[in-house]
Formats: sequence, structure tokens, C-alpha cells
Amino acid sequence: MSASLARLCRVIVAASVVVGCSLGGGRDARATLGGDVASVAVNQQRLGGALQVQKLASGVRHELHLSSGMVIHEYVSASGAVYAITWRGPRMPDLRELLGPYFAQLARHDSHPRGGHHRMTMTGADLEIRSSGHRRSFEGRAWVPSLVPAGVHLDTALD
Amino acid sequence: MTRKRISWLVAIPIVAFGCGGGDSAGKKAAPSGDGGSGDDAGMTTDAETTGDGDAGPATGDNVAPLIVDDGPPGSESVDVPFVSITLCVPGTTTCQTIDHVSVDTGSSGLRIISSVLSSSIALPQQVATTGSSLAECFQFDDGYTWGSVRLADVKIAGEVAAKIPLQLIGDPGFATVPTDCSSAGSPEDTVVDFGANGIIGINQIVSDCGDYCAGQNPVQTGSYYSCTGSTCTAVAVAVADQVPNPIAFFAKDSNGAVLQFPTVAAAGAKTLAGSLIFGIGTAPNNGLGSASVLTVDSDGNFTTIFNGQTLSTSFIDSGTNSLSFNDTAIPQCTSNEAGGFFCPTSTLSLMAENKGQNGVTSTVSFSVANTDTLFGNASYTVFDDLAGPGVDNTSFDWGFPFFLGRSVYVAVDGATTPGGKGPYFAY
Repeated sequence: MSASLARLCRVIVAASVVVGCSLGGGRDARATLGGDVASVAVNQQRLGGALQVQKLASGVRHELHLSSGMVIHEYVSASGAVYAITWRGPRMPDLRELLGPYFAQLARHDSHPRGGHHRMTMTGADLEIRSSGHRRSFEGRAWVPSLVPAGVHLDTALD
Repeated sequence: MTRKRISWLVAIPIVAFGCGGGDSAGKKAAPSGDGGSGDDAGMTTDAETTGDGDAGPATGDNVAPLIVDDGPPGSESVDVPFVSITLCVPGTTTCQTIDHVSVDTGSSGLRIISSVLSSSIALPQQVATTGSSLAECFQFDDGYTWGSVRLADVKIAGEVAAKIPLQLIGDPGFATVPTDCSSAGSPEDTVVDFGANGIIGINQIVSDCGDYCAGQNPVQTGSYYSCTGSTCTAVAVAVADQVPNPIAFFAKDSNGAVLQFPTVAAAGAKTLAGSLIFGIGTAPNNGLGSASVLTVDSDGNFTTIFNGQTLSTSFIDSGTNSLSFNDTAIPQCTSNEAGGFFCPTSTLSLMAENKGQNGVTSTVSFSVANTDTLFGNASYTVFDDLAGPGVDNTSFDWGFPFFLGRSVYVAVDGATTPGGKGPYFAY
């Protein structure tokens, strides 16, 4: 992707308008939990598939459709921080990329408290992760409690 | 929390189980000369704490005993059904029986932790289309397993699936995990991390990955790999060559299976015996009777209507150890022990309606207990009222508690049964 297109997307993010933006090449999402809005735009250069940015009552939602069929939502607060990420698709997303500095907590997490492999709830250091699903049908979400804007209720705000 | 092993486990002749925890070489049993499934049908347990016993175990050469207990040492499992399976070098009588393989209707394929397999059971390596060794990264919702794909004759009860692919998790010959595999989360390549000696996925959709992993343009990363030495590259694998639900390859009774368990008391039970019966309508012990047949979509989902919400990606999953659904009116537990589960002040009696893709509906009553109270009985491993929140408002995961007091039928995709063609769930 050209630098000018990257700048365009950055402008789109800044303007918080609803728009489609098809990006070429790349692999999984690079937007990282806890990152700032500028890094979101830069990181999303690497996405394959389509990007939509939608203004919410509080902040913006970036919707990413990857070639794998994965749909990722990234929620950016008005103050410019990625406070939550959700995913849905035929595989787990690249959580090393999506969780950024928070991934290490997941990688060393005892993911198997008491049994079962199709559901996970993890509470880490300023990190919450939920994951569920079954064969070729995965969904999950991760958020940073300290970055969730006041007045945003995740039960209804995330999709 | 420290949980004590159930005492009867140590009384079982080790040869019957093949191998114990697999966490040390000393726990491996010598391979048996011939397979024979884990002959644990005769196990007796304390009647006061092992369910209501209102359904005697099924009998027949298509029946494998199931046990719900705390699993291999260190796993502290609750609500996980385990079976014993026998692996043989294809075409030989060089076999080993492995206990505590969890039974999972939510995935497809047999996966065994390599440390529990005797070194004398040399299963042939599956080869990728590249001519190099085939390995697999398999993603669960709580982590991933990495290992080689091997071939084995798989025997359970009187059933045999000859020379089918399986995943050998944590194979020491494939020590380097590709980065785009480990990006799925946390590794589950040991008995302790996995909580079982292996897993047998008996989902309706036979292949473990399907078209997603068969596509060449582009080849999807994070699934199958062609490996030369420590260098592994993502590779496409035809659906027919993927790691499959073994049931579909049985010589008989290959159209599905029935999981059958008695009920347990509201407080739970220490252990519980059940039956995994192969085939649907193929023998006197596996008829559908009056069960409702709910067909599922190509992802294995039906619809659940709960609290006025239509949850269109709902499923029945023995590989989830709780009922899992969202209901913001139910308090969540705050203790470390019960974190991630519900903690209502008193047990709730709730109802939902399941609706198959075929329009067949079925009303289900269920209970949600206080998990702090349930886990307060530290030696108990079976609960019919263990529940917790899901991810969002699109899905109801009918986990293992749903199976208690029921016969749950899982019909293989495309297979002919007296209830019509799979894929479906019936109960």
C-alpha cells in the first residue's frame, strides 16, 4: 500500500466518517490493544481485505474483513486508544498482533482451569479476554478495563 | 486449590488403562500385545456420590465406557467426559491403550499427547503433498496444540478405524512451533496444560478443518504445515487427508454416536460413569426412540431462543465444561476459584427453546447454581448446574451439563440414519 493511501486512511480515521477502504496485500491485523489511533492506521496498512470505520456514540469502530473470513472489530475511544477488540471467524485471529503488549499475559496464561477447550475467560493485569466457539467457528473479545471510556457498557457496546 | 485423586483410580490395573498421567516416563505402561479397549466397564464407585444411577450403562461391542472425574494428575477437571482408546501401528498388533482421552463434540479428530505414547508405538508419519512431513497447529478457543500428523489403527470398544490420521501433540521431533501457530494464544502441548492425555473430536463435520485448509490460493496459515527439519511452512491439505472424526471411518456404526449419562444431584457428584455408544439406529442399544432431531448448519449450529433473544449460532458441546450464555441479570463469581462462572445467590431454574435448521423445536429446562458453592465440594467433578457467561449475544453453548440425564445423538454429516441424514443433534 502506498504512503498516500496510508495517509488517506489516517485522515479517514481522524474524520470519523463511515467509509469503505479496500486495502491490498498483507496478513493479519496489526492494530494493537492499548495502542493509539495513529498506530491503528499505520498497522492496518498490512491488512488483507476491507476496512470500514464507523463513528460510535463514543469513539470509532474499525471493522476489518480479512481474506480468511475473519471479521475483527477494533474500538477506539474518543481520546484515541484501542480499548477493545472483538473477532469472529473460522480460526483464532493473530492475537500476538492484536493484543500487542498484552499478548504475553495470554501466552503464559493457564488456559485450562478445570477443563474444556471451547470456552475461555481470562482476567489478567488490566486485561480481560473471552473466547468461545467450536469447529471452524470462533468468537472472542479482549479489552483493557482502564481504557474503556466512562459510560460505555461492553455488554451492549461491542459487537 | 488442592484436589485429591479419587481413590479408586489407583486400584485400576494399570495395564487396563495403558498409561497413567503421562507426566513422567515411569507412568507409562508397557504396550499391550493387542488392543482391546480400556476395560473399565466393571469399575465401581461410591454409589452415594456417583450420580443417581437411574440409567444403567449400555452394553454391546459398540459401547465404550465414559468416566467423568478429575482427569490426569494436575488437570483438576470438572464436567469433562473421558474415554479410553487404543492406538495400533497400522496393520499390526503393536498397540497401546490410552485412558483419559476427553470426548469433544465441538471438534473433529483424534489428538494424543506424545508423552503418553510408548516409544515402542512408532506410528508412521503422514506426508504432505510436498513430500515432507505433515504437522498441524490445531486451534481451540483457549489455546493451540502443535505436533506431527501420524497414522494409526484406532480402536474403541469393538470398533476399528483403520490407518487414519491423528495429531501427535508435542511430538519432540517437531520442537519448533511456527510463529503464526503460537499467535493463537497459549500452548497446550503437555498433559498438564491440556488437561487430558488426548482428545477425540466427534463433531458431525468429519474433517477437522475442511475447505478452509484445502484452499491453495492463498494457503491459510495457522493450520497444516509441511516440515523439513525445524523449518515448517504452511501447506494446503485436501479435506479427505485431514485429521478426521474417527467414527466416520469405523467399519460399522459409522453414522454417528450417542453420549449417555444418568442424572446427578443438584450438589453434584464425585465421579460419574456413562456410555459412548457408536452408531445411530444400527443396533438395539442406539435407536433414536422419541428423541427430537435438530439439524445443524454447515458450521454445526442451530438456534436457541433464550430471554427473548434469538441466538443463531448455538450448539451442543461436550468439550465445554459449563452451560455458556449471556444473561446480565445473573451475577458472576468474584473468587479466583470460580472466576468466569455464574454465582447467583440461589439456584436458578431457567428455560430455553432450541430450534433446528429443520424447524424442529425442543424446550429445555436447566439450572444455574452458585459456582462457589459447587466448587466448595472440592472432591466433586460432576455438576449439572455449572454455568457461566459467553462471549456475546449470538450463541448458547450447551456444554457438558446438558448431557447429564440424557442420550445425546451426534449424526455424521451426510450419513444415513433413521432420523434422516446428518448433520444433526438429537436428544
